[in-house]
This record gives sequence, structure tokens and C-alpha cells, in this order.
Amino acid sequence: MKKAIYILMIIMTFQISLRAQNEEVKKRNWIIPAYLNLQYAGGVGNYIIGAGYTLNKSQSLRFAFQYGFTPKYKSKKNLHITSLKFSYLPTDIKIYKNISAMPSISAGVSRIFADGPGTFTRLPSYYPEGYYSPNAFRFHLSLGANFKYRFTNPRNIKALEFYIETTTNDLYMKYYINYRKVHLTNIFTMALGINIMFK
Amino acid sequence: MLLKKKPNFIKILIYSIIISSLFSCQKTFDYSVYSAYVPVEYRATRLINLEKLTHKETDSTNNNKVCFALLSDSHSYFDDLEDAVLAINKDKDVELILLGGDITDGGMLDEYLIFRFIMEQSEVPYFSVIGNHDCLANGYTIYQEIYGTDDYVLVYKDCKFIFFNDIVWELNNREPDYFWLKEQLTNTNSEENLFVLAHIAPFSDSFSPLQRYAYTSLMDTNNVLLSIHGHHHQHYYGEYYNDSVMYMNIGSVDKRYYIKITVENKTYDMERVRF
Repeated sequence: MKKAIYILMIIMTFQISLRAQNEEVKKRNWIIPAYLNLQYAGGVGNYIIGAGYTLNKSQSLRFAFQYGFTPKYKSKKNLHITSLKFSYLPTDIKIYKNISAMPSISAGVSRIFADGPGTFTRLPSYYPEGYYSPNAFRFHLSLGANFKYRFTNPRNIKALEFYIETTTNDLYMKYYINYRKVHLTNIFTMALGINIMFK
Repeated sequence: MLLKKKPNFIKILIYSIIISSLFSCQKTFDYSVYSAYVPVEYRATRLINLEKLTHKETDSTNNNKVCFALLSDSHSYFDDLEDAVLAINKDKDVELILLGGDITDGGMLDEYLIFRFIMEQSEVPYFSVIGNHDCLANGYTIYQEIYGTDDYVLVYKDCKFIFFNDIVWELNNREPDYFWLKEQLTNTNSEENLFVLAHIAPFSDSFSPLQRYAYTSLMDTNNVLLSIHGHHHQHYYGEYYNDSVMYMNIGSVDKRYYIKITVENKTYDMERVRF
């Protein structure tokens, strides 16, 4: 469990250092992330670090691998969550000189790595088959606004993006459906983040 | 004209997202649904209910009669649970509510807090045994934070209710504490009416034959009036093992009834009340 997280972190740092060494190379290696993602909250951990990739030239289609950590003092137990997030940023509106704004919609899936038998992707052998469905996966949906600052003479970092998101997940939607006193304002929470876009 | 209109619409969209993010989120930041951190104001809930029960006992005029309502397996049937609580509030005979476990669906903190919010509307105190679903994710830790120990005893007038945690699989295939149960059953005044609440009935699939034998023989030798269970969502009442003990499966709350039990003179009356 923890091993997988360490491997992911090592790959991520390796990718970043790899990028730094290959500054001269014009053509980007597909494995090198297009941006480094840092996020606070949003249902996938307290402190989140991620590697992001763009899928088209205009960078409107993206996906990011994220790792989120929630320390013991905030959630009673250390929580390690990995997630995969797909985003669509349909347009780019110029606000002022090299600052622009982009609305975004994202969908993601996360998986928790927790101690003990409580969360699982596959049931322990002593259960009858199909007794529970896996409870370590969660599905997330977010709406956000990104603000992009483009550097005029970029060296390593092309642009910085600050974003704010309002996000929910499958469980919150279930509570919204099952209890009349849960309103839409109860199921959405906030996330803040930065994307450091590499050249 | 059309080209000009499009960015305006998107700007409005961006502003509305920011405003909604900043102001309409009741819980601003959420780290994970799996969090087990229970805010201080929600802890010691059982103690608050015990205090309510003590007041009820001192205010009560008839000390020989006890009336309680039984509910079970509320999972995420929140609307049904709330309707049940409101219906029980109208019944002025009911002195306390006992729940047969599975008060959450996935052992999540939010589910525990919604359950607690609903049960706070009850005019009478409530007590619950832990269920298998309540032990999923970090549910076992959260249960203990909000309610306290999972094995406990409640004495009200001449009734003794033993809440026994008999969950096996979800707690890492452990053995339920039968020695504790035996101690509670034997340290009983002969005048007391004994009720045992355990989420999983001994005739369920998660009990091994040995565990089944341990439980049923303890019930049989200690004159337990009624062994109350949840887990199976259908109602059952009868002498399952053809011994002196009556077994009951409460049934889930989405079937929209509660069981009302009135105990008097070492016997009890049972009624299914629809709501």
C-alpha cells in the first residue's frame, strides 16, 4: 500500500528532474508532465501534489495524477489517497495583458489506501462472494475557475495557474438524494490549487 | 454581437462558481469522506442520552412498566428514519428507542452525523448496538468516538439491556467477547428482565457453529427474555432453536414500521406500529 505511494512520488520527482536536464530538447517526451499540480482540500486529501498532462495543443483537455495526504491530527488516522482527474477547460478569456480566466469542469476517481480491513478494493477471503462492493473508490465532480498568468520571457516555467473549485462526490450525491434536509449547498466543498506549467 | 455575448456569459459563469465556492459551502474545506475526526461537540452522545434516561426514570410514575421502541438497519434510509422518529415522538408511551445496528451504510463520518442529527429530534433517549456496516471504513473508530464502548449495559427500571458487539468479519475476523457477555448475564438481579441486543443473529451466515453454540447456550442458561437482532432486513419473531429463548429480527426502517414493546410483570407485549 504505502509502497505504491512511494513509487508514485519517486516517479513524479524523477519526471520533474528529468525535465530540468532536458531543457535543450525541443520535443517533449510524453512521460514528462506538462504541469505540476498543488492543491488544498477538495475531498482527495488535505495536501495534494500531482503531475498533469495536456491532451491537446490548446491545453483544454487535461488529466492529472494526484496524491493527497491527510495527517492524523486532521482526520484521526493518516489518510493516503491517489486520484486521477480529467478536466475540460472550454475557453480562455483574456482579462488583462497576460492574465486570462478559464472555467473548468472535472471528473475524477480516487482510491484510498488505509490501514485495517475497513476499506478494500477486493474482499478478504473469509467473506462470501459479493458481500460488499469495493468501498475504497470514490467518484468526484468539480466545477472551477482557473486564472492563468503567462510569463513574457519564460525560462523553465511558462505559466502559473491559480484555481478555485467547488467539488462533490458520489457519496454526497447519495445523501442529497436520500435525505430531504441535505441541500445542494451542503454537498459542495471548496478546493484551492496551483498549476505550474512547464515550458 | 454574438461573439461579444459569449464571453459575458462565461464571465458570469466564472463569477458564479467563485461566489458559490466561497459562500455557499457549509463545510468549506473537505479533506476526505474517510476522515475519522469527530468534532468535540458530537462526542459523548451516549452520556447525554444516559442523562436524559435518568431524568425519565425519576419523573416516571409507574416503575413496573417499561415501554420501548425498536428500529434497525437505517443505513442511508434517512427520510424513513426521520419519519420513524417523528412517529415515535407522537407515541407518548415510548420511554426510549433502541436500535439494532447498521445506523450507517458505509461507516462514514457524515453518515454518523446525519444519523445523530435525525436522532436528536427524538424526544426520548436512544441507544444503539454497533452493526457490521458501522465497522466499514473508519466506522469503528468513529462509533467509539461518538458513542463510547461497543459492548455496554443499560439498566432502566427493572429492565437490563445488554448491547453486545457480535461483529466478526468486519473487525478483522475477530472473536466476539463472550466472556464479557457471560459476566453481564450472570451478574443479574433475579427481578430484572433481561434483553440482549446484538446486531447479527446467531442464525446468520457470519457465525461459525462454535460461535453460534456459545451465544445460544448463554441465552438459554441465563433466562434472557428476548434476544433482539438486526442485519436481516425482514422481520422475524419466534423460538428459533426450540429452547426457552425468543429471538427477534427487527427489520429495516425502510419497511416503515417500528416495534413497540411494553414490559410488565416479567412478560412483554409486542406490537408492530406502521408509520
